[in-house]
Amino acid sequence: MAEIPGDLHYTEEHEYLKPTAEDDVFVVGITDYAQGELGDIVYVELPQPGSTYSRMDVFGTVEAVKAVSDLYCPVTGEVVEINETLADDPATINSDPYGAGWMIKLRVTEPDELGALLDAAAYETHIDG
Amino acid sequence: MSHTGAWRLILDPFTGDEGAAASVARGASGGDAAPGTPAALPGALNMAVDEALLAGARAGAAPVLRLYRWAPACLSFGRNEPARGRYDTDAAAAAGLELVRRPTGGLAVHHAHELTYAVVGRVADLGRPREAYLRINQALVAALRAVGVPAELAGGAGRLSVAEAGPCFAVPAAGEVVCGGRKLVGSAQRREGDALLQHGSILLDGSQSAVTRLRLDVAATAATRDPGAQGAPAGWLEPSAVAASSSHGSTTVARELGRVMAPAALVEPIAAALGAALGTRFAPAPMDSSEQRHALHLLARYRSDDWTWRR
Repeated sequence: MAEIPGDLHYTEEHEYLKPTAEDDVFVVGITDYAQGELGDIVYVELPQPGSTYSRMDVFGTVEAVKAVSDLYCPVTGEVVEINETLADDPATINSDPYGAGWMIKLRVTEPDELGALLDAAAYETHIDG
Repeated sequence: MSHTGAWRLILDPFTGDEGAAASVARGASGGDAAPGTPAALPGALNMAVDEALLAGARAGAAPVLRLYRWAPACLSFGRNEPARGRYDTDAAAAAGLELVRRPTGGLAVHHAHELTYAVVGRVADLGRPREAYLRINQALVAALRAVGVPAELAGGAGRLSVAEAGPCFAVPAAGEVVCGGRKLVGSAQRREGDALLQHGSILLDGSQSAVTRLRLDVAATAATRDPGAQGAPAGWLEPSAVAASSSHGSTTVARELGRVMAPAALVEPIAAALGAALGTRFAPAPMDSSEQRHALHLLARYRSDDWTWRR
């Protein structure tokens, strides 16, 4: 059973958005369900800090054993930090997707878009469907 | 939403309106095949076509089984595979071998004596990526068995890392199509939104040893394993069922059957088995003209050094 923390926002494409100490900065990664579906992750392609994306733009890719999937930016914002440790240890996404396996920190510039994301219950319904 | 009509079987992507433009793109090498034989195209065009079909699936086009070949022979890298500075490009050019980077994951493949498949559709049509992977590989096993090749799915949990880049066919991963434990089909996937591309190489004959022979950093190892390699670059690409797997973890249809099989002979078995696995049937069709135009647009990227040597 995939872990779905109750306090995060989710996309139908299996990214999560997690609050930080800064009101407008959120951590983005992929869900426990997504890492389980992908299998062993061997490579992550992340953007440069300072890059800006609109909601559901592709901000990177994640490669499991042979399968490459796009990563979608859940809401409009600017990348303020990336998780550089993933370059050396991408399997962290498998072992700790909501913690050490985070991908980017995003400064959200269109906060109204947060309301369009799924809560944990809606995300659980989505992956069960 | 899933497609209920016939799905498309594409053997030559460039028939119809864009045929003339594509004849420039494909060069002198393709377009001369007998009817029923999958077209042979340059590597960059093959990859552009597969990506255009993926975009077509996202836009609602009917799912596709594409079967194709490569001319000239080509070495392809996985999307994220480290390749820059690791391959002897002069030796590749001297051997008449093109280089291209795929849109999909995985490791290097030498495309010469193979039949390549691509299956493209939405998750609603093919299943989630891992389901699709299993269904497609099971269908390939059924098709190969139908022509007498004792193929099966690999068990276990093979692990691959792009950081340890090398030949795709060196190690079978779980669920891949093997014969006697040796890899016969190498496959890779790309997912974009709700659409999925899986393509892969069905080795008909020859050898994957060019992958290691062209590697600058493992040349000494390759020479040790295959002493005839270093002095005879002209012979690198010659088909040889005997040489197919003497030093690598792959096998070929020719090695398993004891005779060379024409690519056209696998078209119907694969279309039938995949149709059965996915609950559909495939009918011959061209690419849509919009997909053809998109493929020709994407061609520039797949030809560019920026893409090929991005890592």
